Amino acid sequence: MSEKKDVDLKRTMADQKLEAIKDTFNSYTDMNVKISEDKVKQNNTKKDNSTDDEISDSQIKAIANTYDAYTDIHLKTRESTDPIPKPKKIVFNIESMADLKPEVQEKIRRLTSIISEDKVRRLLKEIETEKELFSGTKGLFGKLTQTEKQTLEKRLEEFKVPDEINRANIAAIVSCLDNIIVEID
Amino acid sequence: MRQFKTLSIKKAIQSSLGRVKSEKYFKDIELNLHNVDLMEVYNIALSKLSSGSIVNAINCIVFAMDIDRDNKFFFSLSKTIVVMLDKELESNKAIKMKQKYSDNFENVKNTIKAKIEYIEKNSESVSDSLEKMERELHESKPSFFSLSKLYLTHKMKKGKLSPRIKELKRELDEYEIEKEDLEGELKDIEKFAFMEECLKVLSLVMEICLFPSRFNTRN
Repeated sequence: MSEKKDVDLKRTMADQKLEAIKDTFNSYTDMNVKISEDKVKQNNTKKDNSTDDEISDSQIKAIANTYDAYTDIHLKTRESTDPIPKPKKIVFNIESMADLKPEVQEKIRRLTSIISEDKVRRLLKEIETEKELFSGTKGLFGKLTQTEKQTLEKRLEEFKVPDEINRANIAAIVSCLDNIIVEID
Repeated sequence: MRQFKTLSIKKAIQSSLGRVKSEKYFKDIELNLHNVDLMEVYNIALSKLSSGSIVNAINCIVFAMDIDRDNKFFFSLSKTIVVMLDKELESNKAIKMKQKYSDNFENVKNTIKAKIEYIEKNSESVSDSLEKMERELHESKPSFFSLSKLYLTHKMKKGKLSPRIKELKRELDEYEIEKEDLEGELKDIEKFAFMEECLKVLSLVMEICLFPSRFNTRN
């Protein structure tokens, strides 16, 4: 009972702290924006005055550092009062499509029916046997040492999944490339 | 004794792409961080991927691989996507674009954007001049109520301005065609640049999982 009270008290204190941090955050954001605006004004009026620029830069840097510090405090406060543990490594296994969620199964089945069996089989083979892309000198991981080459082969073997899952992956990516949503920053 | 700690995938992507660009790979998935069910995450990844949202699928992969580096299902999904993206970037269309601009897609994207901006500015200025000339010609037109405007002056003005107006209209049409062509190219280039970026992120994820020692940092 008293433990629960302690946790409640800690949480209330943490909430108060977070509120205070939030306020400071906002005031710093305002200051940051103001300084940036001032800097633009200064640049417009005194183009050759480099000392003013340096001052503004250092001020902005100082505020950015304070920002980071407050973010750390914010996170630490949350962690210290949160009784729920951090995520842990969870092992799971999928033997076949049947292990996937019914709606995902349905989606994949629909996609697989559109893509020709020949194409899927060809892609399966290509993905399975792709070597140049991973271990070639101009491959994705750069020039590999002999040990790295051995590790790569070993890991690729270990990371093999059932054929049915590979087919599901292929169906999903083929459909994705046909209807890709380009996200631009 | 020297101690090493493993760099998180999230941080590696951030330092490779920069904070702003990498941001999209760490959001938009609603996951319960305290009760992680990677099987659920895998289902989300497949579902998002089949809907065309590769970014959301990468979100899931990064999230899952940061928890379990040895997860063969997410690794295999990454591998499949990487091979397919590479195939797409080696397609005839992509190669033609690369050859045309002989630069990477991200730079080509910026070059084309700058060209479009330049065309838009020029087109705007031509359009302004055209409007001004047309107004001038229209205002010089004599009407029943205007005593000061003579038909002869209007005719002279018309003779002087008409060829110029015609030329400006032709220029405007040319700008429009050029802009349309560039916008079409930009659409393809943006797609390829985006694919190139996704390929970069996923190959980094694979590299961290395959060769963790390359990413160890001193404590």
